[in-house]
Amino acid sequence: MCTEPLADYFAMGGRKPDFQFHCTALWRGYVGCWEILAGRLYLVKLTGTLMDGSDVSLESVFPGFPERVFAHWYTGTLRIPRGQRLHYRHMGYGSVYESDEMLAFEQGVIRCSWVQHNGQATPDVSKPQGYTAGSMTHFPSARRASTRGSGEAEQGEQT
Amino acid sequence: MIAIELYSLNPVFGMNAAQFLYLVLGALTLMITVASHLWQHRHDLPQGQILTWLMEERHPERRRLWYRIRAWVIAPVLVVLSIVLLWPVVWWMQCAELVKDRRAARKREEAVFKVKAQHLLERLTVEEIESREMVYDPLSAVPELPFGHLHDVWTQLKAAMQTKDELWSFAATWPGDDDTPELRKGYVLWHRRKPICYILKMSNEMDVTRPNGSRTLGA
Repeated sequence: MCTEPLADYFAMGGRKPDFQFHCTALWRGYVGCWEILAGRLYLVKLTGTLMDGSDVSLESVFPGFPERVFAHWYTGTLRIPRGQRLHYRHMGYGSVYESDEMLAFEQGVIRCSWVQHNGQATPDVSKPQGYTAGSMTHFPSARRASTRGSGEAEQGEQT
Repeated sequence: MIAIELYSLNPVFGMNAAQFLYLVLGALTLMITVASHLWQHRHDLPQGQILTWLMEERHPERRRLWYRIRAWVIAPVLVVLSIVLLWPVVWWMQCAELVKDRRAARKREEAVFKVKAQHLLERLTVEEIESREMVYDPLSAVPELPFGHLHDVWTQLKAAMQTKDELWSFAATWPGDDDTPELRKGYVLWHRRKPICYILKMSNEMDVTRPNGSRTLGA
């Protein structure tokens, strides 16, 4: 998805560990995995590397909550792109896809949803569906080997 | 006095004193520019090397001799000549940069969110706020405390509270990233018409329009 609810948590003063940046498609240094259950938004997984080289987990940010975290701080609209990419823009979440599923939340509880249609791509089964990070440049870090490439601007969160 | 002495040098290398003085000032400008550049970029060397390596990998023509002559000999010579001969332009650019930096700093200062008197809604007690902001989750994925996962922020705000301080709820619209208006709601610690600190309970971009046909879901 192309929204970062955890960034709001950090902006509101929540505990933010020092994430290690090692990739041009992931400046923030972490990827969150989100789940909507019974109309409520939960953070269920967090991956990345901390500055001290250790792996990021949910407990890195929410001690005592290793399994799931209710995102009660989040009020806003999640954008989940669907279908083929219509237009590529080399900027975080700037590309346009066939449609966007929009989910509006108020304090972590879903209020409404809708689909925004942006156009129709030429049918091509070989092209990936939905949001993907194409390729990127990795920088060497304490724990990762260096690989190189070039490409999409921002890795999205997973839903 | 200096001018008189300079006139006595006339002609120096076929130049009159004014031309000589112009070039001396140009040379001084060059020295200041180079020293300033080296000072500002004194910590940049490792990143600069990585960038050079990346650029050479992406554009192999950068490794050719002619490219290197252009990049490391011709271009610097042209820059040096430009600075010495057109030094008033360099100073004008420096002044313009200073003005621009000051304006940007002022803009950044203005961009920091502040609760103002017109944002205040209702005066409340600690107990009233804690009762309103209790968070509950059927899967126990949140501490059952006021403000849930943000309880520490609330604790810090309470610790900053002194006698005669007031607690108010507030709602404010504020230009967020890319000047997209955001609605911010929360509670502020207020002392003698000034905010001490605040806690946000909501920060929401206001540009997302919900179409008429959207599906409303039960909470």
